[in-house]
Amino acid sequence: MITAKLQIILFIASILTFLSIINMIRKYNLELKYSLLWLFFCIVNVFLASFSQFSIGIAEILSIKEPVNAIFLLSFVFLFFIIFSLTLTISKLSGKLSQLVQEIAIIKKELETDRGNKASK
Amino acid sequence: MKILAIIPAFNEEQGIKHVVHQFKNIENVDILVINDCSRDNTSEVCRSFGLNVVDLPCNLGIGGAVQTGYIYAAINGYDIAIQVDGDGQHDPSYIKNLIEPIINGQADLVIGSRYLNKEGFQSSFMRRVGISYFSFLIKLLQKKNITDPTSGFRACNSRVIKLFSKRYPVDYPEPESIVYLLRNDYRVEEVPVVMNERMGGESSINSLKSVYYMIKVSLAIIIDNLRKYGLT
Repeated sequence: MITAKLQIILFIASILTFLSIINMIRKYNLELKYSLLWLFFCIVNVFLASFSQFSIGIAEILSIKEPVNAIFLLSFVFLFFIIFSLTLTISKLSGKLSQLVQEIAIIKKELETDRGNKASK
Repeated sequence: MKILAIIPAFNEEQGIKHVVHQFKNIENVDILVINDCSRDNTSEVCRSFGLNVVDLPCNLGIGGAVQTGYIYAAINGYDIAIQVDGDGQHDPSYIKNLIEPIINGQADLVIGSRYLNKEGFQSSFMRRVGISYFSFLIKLLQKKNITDPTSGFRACNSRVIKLFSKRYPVDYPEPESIVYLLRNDYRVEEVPVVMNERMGGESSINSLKSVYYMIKVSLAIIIDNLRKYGLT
């Protein structure tokens, strides 16, 4: 069993999250590329809230007694995906950052050598 | 009138040779190659032909690479910037047709379209379906017929150069940038061009990414259309 109260709360929370994410992208505060996963999970949550058969079905497949617990499990999986995508992004960014730092350091060195050459002339 | 051709290149050492050859008879156009951290010898090949090259220290993707060109154009006071792909698909002899509406003050951005006269390389069937879908979406949202919204063969004036140097869409920027301009009352026009099949290199879009591409660009276009006039 999944209560109507929980369904309504989940539904409203998902819709509000979806709209506020869209609004933040619209104001250029969020990058669409990194919001796609959030938007996707919001849509999945709206479906889960609207049709209790989904959570009941998932609970049956995984032999979970209460469909509510299936929803908790799914939330856990969603969070896992989002956190993992963040780790992935951070790894890419740290690679790019060290490339930039190295490039700047080399340019700085070249500038110094240039100035030294000019001064000695 | 100062004109700059921006050529984004990612692993295009084969394609860039064709581009250099095609540009032989084009006068009064400065060339700037943006090497988007290629793993092959794109940069060395360009330098051996005496081309101006900007080497990006890390890979930014097509949007960030092209924007580097627009920033360069803005800093150096260019009147017109032309985008040409680094794979030999675009024939530079059409540049004069492309910049004509800009010189006459009839348009701010001119797109070279392979579907106005339906001549030359027309791309695969699946690509054409995707392209006409974006055409439909732009028509629906902005009431403007753009036959080739994904074309990377485009020319723009100094107003658009300034705008693009401040903000330019990432990832798959062409269709979104059209909506971005139309939403802010810039004039976007098309002229017919003939395109070749790509010569060497690989397309930035493969079949695995195409679903992601369609969803992301559609969302980007729809969200951009929700933005207010003047928000740049």
